[in-house]
Amino acid sequence: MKVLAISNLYPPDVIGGYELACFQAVEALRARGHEVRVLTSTPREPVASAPDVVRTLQLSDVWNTYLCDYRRSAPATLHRLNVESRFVNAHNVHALTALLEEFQPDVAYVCNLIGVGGLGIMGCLQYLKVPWVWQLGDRVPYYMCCKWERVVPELAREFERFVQGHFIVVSNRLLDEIESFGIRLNGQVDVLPYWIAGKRPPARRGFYRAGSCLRIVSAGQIVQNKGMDLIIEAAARLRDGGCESFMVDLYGKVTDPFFPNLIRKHDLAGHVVLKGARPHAELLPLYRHYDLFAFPTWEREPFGLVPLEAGVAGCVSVITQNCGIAEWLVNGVHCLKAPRTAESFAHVFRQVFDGTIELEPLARRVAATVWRDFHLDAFLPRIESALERASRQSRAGAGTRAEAYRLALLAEKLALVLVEEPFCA
Amino acid sequence: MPTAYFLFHDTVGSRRSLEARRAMALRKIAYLTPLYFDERSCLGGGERYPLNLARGVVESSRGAYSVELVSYGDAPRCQVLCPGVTLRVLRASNRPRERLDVVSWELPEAIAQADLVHVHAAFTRASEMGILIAKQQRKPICITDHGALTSILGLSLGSLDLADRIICYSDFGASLYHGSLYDTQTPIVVIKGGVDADFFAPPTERPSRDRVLYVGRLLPHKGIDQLITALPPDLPLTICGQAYHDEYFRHLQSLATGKPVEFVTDADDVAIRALYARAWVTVLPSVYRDCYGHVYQAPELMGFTLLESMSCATPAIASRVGAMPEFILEGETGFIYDHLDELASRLRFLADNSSVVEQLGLQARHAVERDYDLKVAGAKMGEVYDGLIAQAREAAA
Repeated sequence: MKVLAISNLYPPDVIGGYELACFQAVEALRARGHEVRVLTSTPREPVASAPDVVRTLQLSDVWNTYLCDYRRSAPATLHRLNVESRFVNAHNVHALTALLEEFQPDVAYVCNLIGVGGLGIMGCLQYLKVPWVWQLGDRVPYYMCCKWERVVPELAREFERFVQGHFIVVSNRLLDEIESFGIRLNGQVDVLPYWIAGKRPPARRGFYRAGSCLRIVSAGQIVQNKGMDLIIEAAARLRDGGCESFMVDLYGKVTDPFFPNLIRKHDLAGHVVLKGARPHAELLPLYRHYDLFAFPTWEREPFGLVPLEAGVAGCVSVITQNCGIAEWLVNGVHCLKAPRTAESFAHVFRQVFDGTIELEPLARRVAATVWRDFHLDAFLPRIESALERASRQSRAGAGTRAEAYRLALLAEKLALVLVEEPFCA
Repeated sequence: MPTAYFLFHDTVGSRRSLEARRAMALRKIAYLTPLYFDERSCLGGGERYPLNLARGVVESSRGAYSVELVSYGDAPRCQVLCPGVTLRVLRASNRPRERLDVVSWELPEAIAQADLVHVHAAFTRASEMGILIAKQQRKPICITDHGALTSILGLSLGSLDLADRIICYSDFGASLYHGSLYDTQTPIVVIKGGVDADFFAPPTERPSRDRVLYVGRLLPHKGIDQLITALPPDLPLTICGQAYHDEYFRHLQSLATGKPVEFVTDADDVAIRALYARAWVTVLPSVYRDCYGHVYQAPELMGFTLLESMSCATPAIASRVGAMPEFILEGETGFIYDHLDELASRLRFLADNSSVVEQLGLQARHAVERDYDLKVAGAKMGEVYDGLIAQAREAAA
């Protein structure tokens, strides 16, 4: 099959697991003989060119918290950013139609579309009747149906009507969340978790023993949504509770001085270290040197891939009890679950520290389970089959490339005019 | 000249096509019209035309079509206007400076239920949104301009090329699409008329004719000031229409001082019909340049009130402006003038020659029945819809 993967970002330019999973799926499909082209955005920092990765989409960088702050940017700038990020970016529709014409894919494998005008991308695929399978690792449809963070019910209904195809959703939690906003995914919906990929790491030999130094790690965006502040707070409680023999390493790019300040505030420099960002490939082997992976992410985390990556290295995760990944792992069997508070996480850390919870059996089980049940090799046939099924869809009545681009231009300009209308004299 | 340019001079809606149409399931047409013909919205030709055309399509198809007029207001509502024709008012989701630039989140749902979308008042935000949604939903699209231009955004982005047909109600209207801002490759169809000849009919017993008549909105481009200026001093004139321009209305009142000019600003259709019956002639004196110096490219795309008057067997006089000369057969159903002295002498002539008035009126009535009745226009329109819907279904199959 000729597969066109579409993703807002693509390694090495990533925000989190969504883009990494896209990369892994693409590599795996290629390994199985499929011809895969990737359409993604121009990177946010220089990256080496990669074969069959076309970086021509414009990215509206809504993740730049500095620029997206209402105190710093003019309302018109933010409106434009919002429209082009979620609704439609005509430039990106043009880039898509050009690549569709040149590559002539059998099917599109769609990933995260926030930042590239997702509604326009999906509208274009629908209009040209390009079959697609949409890998949903976040509530992307919700963002596409929102005006000022509120779902417009009529837009949700229209989304349901015209975005029809095959969805792969990473958790029931995510599916329920999307539907709770009145957005029904129209078509085939499969719930399939994210995965780990690559070769099996060497079996872990050493396990934590009560009283020794407890090594805690976390990795990802250093932001409050991911609970990085809760980890620091939990470390403070652990220390204040009399436990001195522990360390917490946090991997990820620090963009907010709040976090180093919080470490200073609690005088935790001897315990908590911000280790900076590391390439994904470098990060994976590091997990085997830690005992616990702390993941107090927000409850609406659609999945949470890193606990799986840590788990396969025998590093047991302590996770928010009702986030996406929590529905795939059993508390006390493959992981430790806790309410999303610093106190609860500190309590679990303490139980591990003093031996109330024995880590070794959990570590062995989670390593084996993740390798067996969550490896991409286990899921790829299902993804492949979804792509194949979609590719057989009739393309009768497809519109033309010129029309699709004209519609995108009209939609983009109308959206901008209507969004700015209330602010005009 | 556009790729295809169809003129319907012969009778369409043949027996064969009518039977074929009957054989098909009921088809629903959505007429997107930013304003609708009602005191709550607007009482203009641009609003009356979609309503009449809708009735014509439904009546001529004998129920094969239903038409939903989709418009906007503060609260959503639905209303049956006549058998087969409904008005669906969508809740407006913006408060634009121009009323015609209204949009609604409810529009996609309204369009989804239609087999074909006919966009009226083409150059407005409301229509731009309609075209976008209809095209994305793969609906066949017809577009008709009624002269209003509140947004050129769509035009500048080639929105006309997204339509399947441009429907004009005059050759003049069609000519505007050549080499101008409106230039498009989309085929143009001219379907003239759309007047309700059953309602606007000659009276059973005609009252004596005793006046010159103007019917239409009181706006500068209508050139009513010129009519008052040209009016022979002893001839009564009734100016009937709503005042949409305060300054111009005051100007007209001032010009009329000392002349036998009567203003009627609250007439309903029955009253207007009675006025047609009592007039020697109805005059539409529209101008390309109004008394304030404003220039209009297309002041009249048809001249609906001329046709209503003719339908009531009252002759018509019009300036040689826009599409109006297409609808008046010189010396047979009325007159066209270039200068005000011509207008004045025609008014005097008709006021003094009742037999000529009756003769011209009779011929005017026949012309309307034959060419401009809403059922005639509706049948032609239905033919266009038939082809487009069949084509769309074939493409989707």
